[in-house]
Amino acid sequence: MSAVDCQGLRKVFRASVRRGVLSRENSEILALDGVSLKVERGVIFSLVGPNGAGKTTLIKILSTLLIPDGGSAFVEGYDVVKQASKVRSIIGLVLAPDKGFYSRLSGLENLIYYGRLYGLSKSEATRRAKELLDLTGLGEDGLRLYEEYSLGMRAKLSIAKALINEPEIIFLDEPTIGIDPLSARRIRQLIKDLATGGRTILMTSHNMWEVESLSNRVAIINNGRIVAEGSPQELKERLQLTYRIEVEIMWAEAPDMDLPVAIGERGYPVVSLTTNRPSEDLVKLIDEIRSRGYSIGTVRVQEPSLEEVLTRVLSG
Amino acid sequence: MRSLNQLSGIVEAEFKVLRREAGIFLLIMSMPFMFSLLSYGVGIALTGGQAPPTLWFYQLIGFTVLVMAQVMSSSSAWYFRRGMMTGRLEYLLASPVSPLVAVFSSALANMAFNIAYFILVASIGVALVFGAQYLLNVLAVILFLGLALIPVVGFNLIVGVVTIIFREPEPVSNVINSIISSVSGFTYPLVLLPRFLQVVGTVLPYSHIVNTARDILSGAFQPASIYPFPFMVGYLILGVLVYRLGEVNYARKRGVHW
Repeated sequence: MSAVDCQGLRKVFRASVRRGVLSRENSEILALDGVSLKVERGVIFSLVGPNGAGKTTLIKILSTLLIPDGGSAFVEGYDVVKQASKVRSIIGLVLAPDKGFYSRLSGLENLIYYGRLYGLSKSEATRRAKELLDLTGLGEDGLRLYEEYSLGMRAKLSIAKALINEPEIIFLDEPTIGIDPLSARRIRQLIKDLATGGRTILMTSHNMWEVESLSNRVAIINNGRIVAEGSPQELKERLQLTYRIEVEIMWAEAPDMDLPVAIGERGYPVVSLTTNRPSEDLVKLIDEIRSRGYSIGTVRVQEPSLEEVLTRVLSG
Repeated sequence: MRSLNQLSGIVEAEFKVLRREAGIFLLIMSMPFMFSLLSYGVGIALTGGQAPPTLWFYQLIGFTVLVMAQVMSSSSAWYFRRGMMTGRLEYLLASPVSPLVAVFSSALANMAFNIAYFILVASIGVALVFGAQYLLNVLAVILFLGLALIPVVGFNLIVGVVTIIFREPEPVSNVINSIISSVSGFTYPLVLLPRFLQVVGTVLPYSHIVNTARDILSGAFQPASIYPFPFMVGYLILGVLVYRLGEVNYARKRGVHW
């Protein structure tokens, strides 16, 4: 059984725009248009796509906040509509890393509050909250009022909140948005540790490097539809994206070769080529350079990024 | 046990927040004194000093319950609005707590705050007008208010749903508060109102609350005066039904984010 299994999910938002004193114009926004997705247990699965693509709507449906207009969705085998209460007990959720707390309560008090929403006794909730403050690196800052927290601290508290009920699956909607690099790094490490500990993570992010470094699988969503899905490597291979190879030659003059040669940062010639068979072509290139009696300085292989995958998929 | 933990957790959090905004408490505590002394002063001026202190007490309790009613319905609207703005409401709806337990708990914290406020104001009024020996009546009124304000929770649930639908707490609570304030006879007898407004005032719980509270405090309580209260539970039932409808048809259809 998959941790998340949705079939043909559809969601339409109805909006009403004022056009005059009395007249209003109704419009419909198709947020999800038949999304089908499976997330296996214990993986980090990322949803990527432009703003308004439907990522957050999908997470909100899976976390029972929104009722879909069509299709079905199951979290750990529980129907998100008919068994919403069961789903709520086993999920952790971060919707916006800087929201969701009482500003006049401390981090610790906020976590205790959330712990008690999950039915924990006061002593249990306090114990768990303190553990999570330590885990997220907030520690003694847990005693400070939430309104005094920096964005990074708020994001860590959000993750702590999502873990208060020891969930099996965690939904993270852009967990590092707007956060400084050090805090973001700590959060990424936390996410990795959670997955290593057997938890399933379904996250969204606009940071493609983050998605690539964290995720086992990625789905690209656009206009409410999943347009591509696979591991980051599979997606790159499927799109036949090219690698760029650069080999620096330790020779004062430009070598006589058929490939493009430019002068590199250190003043030596650099031979470059683009290929979708990086291993074979790199060996061939090195052999050729050596056969001509040149010695090699540095070798650089630039992988295609997930950002290129996204750009290619979204631009059709 | 789980629901009890949830309920006490929310009450505690809400109460802590209220406690940390103690300045508001002092402000609203001063309001009944200010308005009742103003109207009593006018009464003294009009009657050439003949207005008895019991009339001031009548006004004081009236304004106190009026402020309580307004604070409760405004707080309820703001509970939802703030919840939407801060993202707390989404987390609440995504947790296994029944939203009814959540709203009820938040109203309980509010009620406790309001009852504390009532005790302080009423104690001063009772001691000044009837003497310290009547202060025990203030304890009796706590029990009464605890039960009498439960229908108000139903009212607040309706206010909450309307806030979710229209997303603006002020117009919602202002309209409700203006109706409640004018027809509930907080500071004047209902008989002064046109007939149809008297009916509205009698159907609403507030006129019964304020009159019974006055009677208990002044030692003039008659058990018969509590007969409307069992019927007032209807507001709680109505509130729960309206809330459920609103949750399914609006909150979980459109979302509660800001």
